[in-house]
Amino acid sequence: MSEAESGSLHGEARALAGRAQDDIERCSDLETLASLRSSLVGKQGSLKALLKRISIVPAPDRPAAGAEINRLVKAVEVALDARRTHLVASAAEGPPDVTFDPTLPGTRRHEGSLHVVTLVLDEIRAIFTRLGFDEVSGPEIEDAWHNFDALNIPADHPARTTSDNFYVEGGRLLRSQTSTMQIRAMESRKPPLRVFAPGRVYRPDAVDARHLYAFHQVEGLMVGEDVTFADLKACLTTFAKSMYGDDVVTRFRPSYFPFTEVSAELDLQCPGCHGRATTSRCPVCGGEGWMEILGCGMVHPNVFRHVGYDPERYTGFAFGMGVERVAMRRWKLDDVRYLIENDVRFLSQFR
Amino acid sequence: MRISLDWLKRYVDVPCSAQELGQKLTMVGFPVPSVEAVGDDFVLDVEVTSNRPDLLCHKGVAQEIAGPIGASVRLPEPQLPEFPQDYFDCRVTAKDLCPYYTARIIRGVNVGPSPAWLVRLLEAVGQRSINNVVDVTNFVMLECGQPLHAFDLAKLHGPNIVVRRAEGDSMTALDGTKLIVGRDDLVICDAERPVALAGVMGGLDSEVSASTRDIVLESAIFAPLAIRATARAHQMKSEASFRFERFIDSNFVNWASDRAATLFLEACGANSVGAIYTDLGTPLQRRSNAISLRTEQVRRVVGVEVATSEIIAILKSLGFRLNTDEPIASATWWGAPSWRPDVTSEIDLIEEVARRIGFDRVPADVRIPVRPAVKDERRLALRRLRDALVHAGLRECMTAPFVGEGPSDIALVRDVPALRVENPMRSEESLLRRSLLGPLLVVARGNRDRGVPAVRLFEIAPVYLRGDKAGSDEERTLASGVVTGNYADAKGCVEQILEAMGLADRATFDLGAPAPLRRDRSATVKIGAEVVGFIGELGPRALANYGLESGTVLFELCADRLVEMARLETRYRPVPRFPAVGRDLAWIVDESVSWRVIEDAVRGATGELLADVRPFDLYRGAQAGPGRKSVALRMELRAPDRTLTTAEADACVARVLDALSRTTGGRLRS
Repeated sequence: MSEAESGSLHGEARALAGRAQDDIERCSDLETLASLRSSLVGKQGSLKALLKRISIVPAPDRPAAGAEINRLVKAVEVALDARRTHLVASAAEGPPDVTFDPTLPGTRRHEGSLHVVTLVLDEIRAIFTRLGFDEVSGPEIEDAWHNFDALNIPADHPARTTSDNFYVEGGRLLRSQTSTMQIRAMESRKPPLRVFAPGRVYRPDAVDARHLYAFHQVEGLMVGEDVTFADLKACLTTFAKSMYGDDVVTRFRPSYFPFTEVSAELDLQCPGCHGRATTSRCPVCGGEGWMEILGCGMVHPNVFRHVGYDPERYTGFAFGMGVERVAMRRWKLDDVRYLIENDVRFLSQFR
Repeated sequence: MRISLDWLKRYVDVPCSAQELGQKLTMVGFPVPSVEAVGDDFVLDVEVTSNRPDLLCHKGVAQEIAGPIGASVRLPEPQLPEFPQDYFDCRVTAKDLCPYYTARIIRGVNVGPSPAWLVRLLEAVGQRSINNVVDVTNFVMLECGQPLHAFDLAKLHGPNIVVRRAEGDSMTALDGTKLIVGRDDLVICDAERPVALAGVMGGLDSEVSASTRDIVLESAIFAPLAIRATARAHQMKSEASFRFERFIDSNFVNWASDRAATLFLEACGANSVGAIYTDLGTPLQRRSNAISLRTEQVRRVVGVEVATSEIIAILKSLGFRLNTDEPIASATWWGAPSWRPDVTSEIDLIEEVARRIGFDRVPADVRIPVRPAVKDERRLALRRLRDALVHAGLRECMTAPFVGEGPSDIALVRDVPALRVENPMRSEESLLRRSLLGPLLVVARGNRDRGVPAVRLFEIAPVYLRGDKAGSDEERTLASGVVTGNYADAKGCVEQILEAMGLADRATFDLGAPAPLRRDRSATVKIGAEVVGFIGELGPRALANYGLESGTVLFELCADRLVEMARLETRYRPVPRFPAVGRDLAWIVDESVSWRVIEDAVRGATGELLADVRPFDLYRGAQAGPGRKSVALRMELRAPDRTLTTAEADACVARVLDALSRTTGGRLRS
């Protein structure tokens, strides 16, 4: 600041106004504010007093200096009014609550949740419902006809043994696959049809990080007069995109199931390594590059014969997938036993 | 199945890398999850589907990939020189279990280490080299799929081998296991005793050893089911039993024997090979030579046109024989090769064509006609029930359906016997549950042990009730919960469910429920006259059985019935236009008078003017007197068409007091 300016009248006014703003901001009661007002902008106020000394300013600068001082007076008056409004309002609310802590947790009601398997099933349901499939169900205790014979699994097939099935007294068994519901749906409906059937199935496997003896599958079936493997691909590719995202890469690979022929497996390209990992171990897919998501195929003509559909007239496709596997992939669960332990600390993480 | 690339190259030229070969195998149906470098060789881990036992050998894999890699298969043709007549007699008495059996003598072997090439190939595929004789039998098995067994001739007693059912004989297997074999087991015997468990494992007594000079080589076919049963019964599985259980190509039984004989001559110093001896003719392949394939059927199933000429090229490359001199455009007739027992009908041929043209050729963008999924009231109701439980703050569980005998076998809904599991995994899981409560209590206990003492859990799942006669067993879906708290906490959940199902106004709660609920602190839930479930606290003994403290309340509802009775449609009532008048009173009654009785009296006395009535305080003490309680209640009174006057409200309260004293025998608390 130059000497000339520091000695100038409006320089002095600016300094005065600056200090005044601070005093006003600090003022906490109406009484002090009133005396502050009179000492600044009252008739004898310090700012007003400056105007009386305007004559010391050289004549050509005088109008500008006067205007500047008046502007500062105005600003101080505005600040005084604002502070006054604020103090009046706070006086009405009473003293501030110093006990209030906005960071304490809110109160909540008990929170419920659906099981992970239910969440996944609901997603799958929604997709197949959009694709025009009806949900059907069937009994968990089944006879050999629905679990094996009608599905083209011959009487001497190893899949029928007690090491692969839970038999109950009376010769029936806990269904080992949801494919039983294909048969039940076809027995009770006439083609064309589109159904899907979620359900729990049972196999006496030792429980470990990847196996349960009771787990869930979703079965699906579409039958009509001109349903081909192309329809299968279209339908299940749509499912994969709805379930896993529009950018997923899928492939259909030949496989074998007794109740379908042409049989296939639908693989999803590993999002971790994009199908490249053959030598280095990809942590997502374990190095295979692709992950199986479901088995599918064209309904075997023998299955149609067993339910009284004419295989010369009707064709169809069927598919089945494991629900727990989907859940494990979705949430990167490393142990399927989480899904049966019902540990509240686990259950409460999913909504 | 571990397949060595070098080994494979003995039968087919492989113009690509092991990785590419793995890709090709994967895309014709046999995934190769890993390709491993073993020295200069590569080993492919090929997953073989159960319909293709022909791929359990290198020859089979060579035949399968020859087409896709554009090569052709060349198999060795074993040529044996002439030797003097020399044979070992063998007789099959159990022809149902052994359709074909051959034996031949090979003399003068020097048992010792195998040549390097043989050791290298066997070890690459994970087969430990034992000695040159055993290695040759293993090599031929992994080459063509036919298991072979070599006996030490000097250790066989008597003039012949008999293949028969065992009769409680004892024997010691090669691996040292002592066995008692019975009627279901097929055994190879000499004059005195079993020397092999047919198709599974040889006997220790007749094992080829360093001193062996002459051997008897067995090449045979055994009944798959018998081998499987025996292997399972004696918990003794082998590479041989694995193949006998599945499939043996009858065209290669003699071939394998000849092949091994040539190798015994080449690699084991043998100097004489006897002729193949059998008392049975080679089993005929009862396989159709005329499986028809209509070209149009391929399109009908696969969804793309495949020309007849392409079909012919594909099937021929897989070893199928075209049985039409001049193929017509619309259909062809085929004979399957001896190693393809899985191909018997047209659809099997269609699958061969489909997987060979590649699924990528089938379009994935065809249009599927729009079809609305049907509206399913039952499923909507079940979802409403489930969501009500979540809204009530309960977490869904999923438990296994098995319980053991004893306290975990609870039956609330109907006390009929539990269904027994014939082959439970554990004895404490030998029954199918009749209630979801046992498993839920186990879950509650588990959570408490993990430091979560208070739980609110539910499950919706079927239970199983044994019927009076076969096939009349019943499955019922229940909705059950376990809640840490008091009766009211659990009842609140049930009320929320019933409200969500549109059934609250028809529900009643009568004192008492079956064990293990406490009779005096439980209720039976009814819709109209029908029992639909129970709520209650667990009795002290049940609490102790589950290791839980008091303050555990349960409910179990028959979800199936609730779903059937549900009224999901909301019936709208206009919002009241006039204010309600609130009136409180406290009524002292005997402990035995339930709220339900008081509520009914209030309702009866107020009629349509009653908007709501609920208890807000219960007092027991000096002012109520012993055995009595004071129930403070609040009534909301409202008329639909006007503001109620004080006089009208007072009259209403007077009628309530009158009704209460008539029906409950109580008095107003002043």
